[in-house]
Amino acid sequence: MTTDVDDRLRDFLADEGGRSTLAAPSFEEAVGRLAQRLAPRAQRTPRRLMVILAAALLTAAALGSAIGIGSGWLRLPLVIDTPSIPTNGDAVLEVGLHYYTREGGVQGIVARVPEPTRIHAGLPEGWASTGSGLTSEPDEPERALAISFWAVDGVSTAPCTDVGEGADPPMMRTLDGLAEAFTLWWTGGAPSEMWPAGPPPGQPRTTEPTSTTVSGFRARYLEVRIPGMVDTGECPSGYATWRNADGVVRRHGPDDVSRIWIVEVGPPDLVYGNGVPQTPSPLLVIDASSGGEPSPEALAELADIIDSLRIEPPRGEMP
Amino acid sequence: MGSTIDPMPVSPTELAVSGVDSLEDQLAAFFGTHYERMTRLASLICHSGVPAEDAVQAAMEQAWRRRKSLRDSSRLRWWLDRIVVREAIRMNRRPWWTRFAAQPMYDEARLPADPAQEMTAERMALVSAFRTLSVEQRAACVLHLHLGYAVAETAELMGAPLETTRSRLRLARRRLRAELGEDES
Repeated sequence: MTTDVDDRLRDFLADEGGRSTLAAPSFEEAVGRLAQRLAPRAQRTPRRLMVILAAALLTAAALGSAIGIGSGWLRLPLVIDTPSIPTNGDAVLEVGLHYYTREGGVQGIVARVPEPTRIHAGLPEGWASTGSGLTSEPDEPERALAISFWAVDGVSTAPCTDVGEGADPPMMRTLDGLAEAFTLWWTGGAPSEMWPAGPPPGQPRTTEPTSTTVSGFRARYLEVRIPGMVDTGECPSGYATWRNADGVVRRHGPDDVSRIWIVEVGPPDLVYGNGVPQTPSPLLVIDASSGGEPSPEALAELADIIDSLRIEPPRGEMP
Repeated sequence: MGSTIDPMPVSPTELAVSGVDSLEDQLAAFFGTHYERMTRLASLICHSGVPAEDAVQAAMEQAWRRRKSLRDSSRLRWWLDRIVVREAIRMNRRPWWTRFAAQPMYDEARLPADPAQEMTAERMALVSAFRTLSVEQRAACVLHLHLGYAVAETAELMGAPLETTRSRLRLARRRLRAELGEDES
């Protein structure tokens, strides 16, 4: 959708771009500086010493990770890799959901399932695969409805300020734990255990999770809405709502709506010890997002796509 | 490893790919051909923040050092744009504690050069409004609205998810409308 502000901004950027090059140093100057920076340094730390230092650091890091993972202090990550090339029509996405587990009861050794998760989706007319997900109206951000896939590794308790690390308790490893993480910290505006005086302005609002299935797997469904009334000056970078296992942060803007399915892509029966899941299943989060409420037609298409999803869990040894 | 990296030739050839043998020569020629464009791109993203030439310099250095990672020479421009955009964003990203500091007042001295002294009310308003955007929002606007990259391409160039990029564009538009006194529509 082209807007008036788009046109004004386009003209402005074209004008400013022209001005900017007048003040920049010449290419020759830039090359001269670059040559100096790329020139080899006169003295280098002896290579042997650097190798020894690097080896020592790596060993310390490996030992620390092993201890951390073995004790349960570190969370074993799920990683979504760069997906495949976009396709039209029926889409097959390889989102590379990897599962890390202990091998042979030896603590601290992790293995990655070699095959990525494949997600097959039937796309209605007007939808396309972008490689990382599925979208309608890919170049019209105001109207588009987009579906993306995540391995959520942390949910931000204060998305507006974007300064916290986000909360990531062990319970988030389970289907209900992750659903609770979304709803516990982002309440519907009422006082809660987390926010006795009511949530601060700018907190996302969520619906209560409901049970459902996606592609035959157990799932929870909930909706996240970002307030639109908050002064964008308070949240200049948008809302950092959650973080993927690979460190990518999901950012929402005011009035954004996310319809979320948390899917347990793995064996439904968990092994519990003292009430705590010992071998959690990998969780796939499906985020269908839009700027504002989508049209009924778009929602119907979304429902069709979710119904059409066929998820092939990661192959390999599962716990 | 350990070999000397020759500085690129000062005189650029006209085109980066045709008639040039090695990747180093291609890249050097490409720098020359696209230096002005890279400067413009970095300048619009940096705006009144870190000087654009620093971002371009850092990007050229990065590109030179990582030149072996380029697998498809036909995507040289894309690859270089991505490095420029990410360097400009990285260098302009403010530490979180500075967000609590007071915003600087309008400072004409830090605006891009204006040799014709054309500081119209429209430009002044847009300069001021554009400055209120975060560096990521500016980058999304420049790539999508100015350079014409699709939203998905913009997302890939910035190394951000598509939905995040879309949200940034929405947030930028909303912010600019508010700053410019336009009605939401």
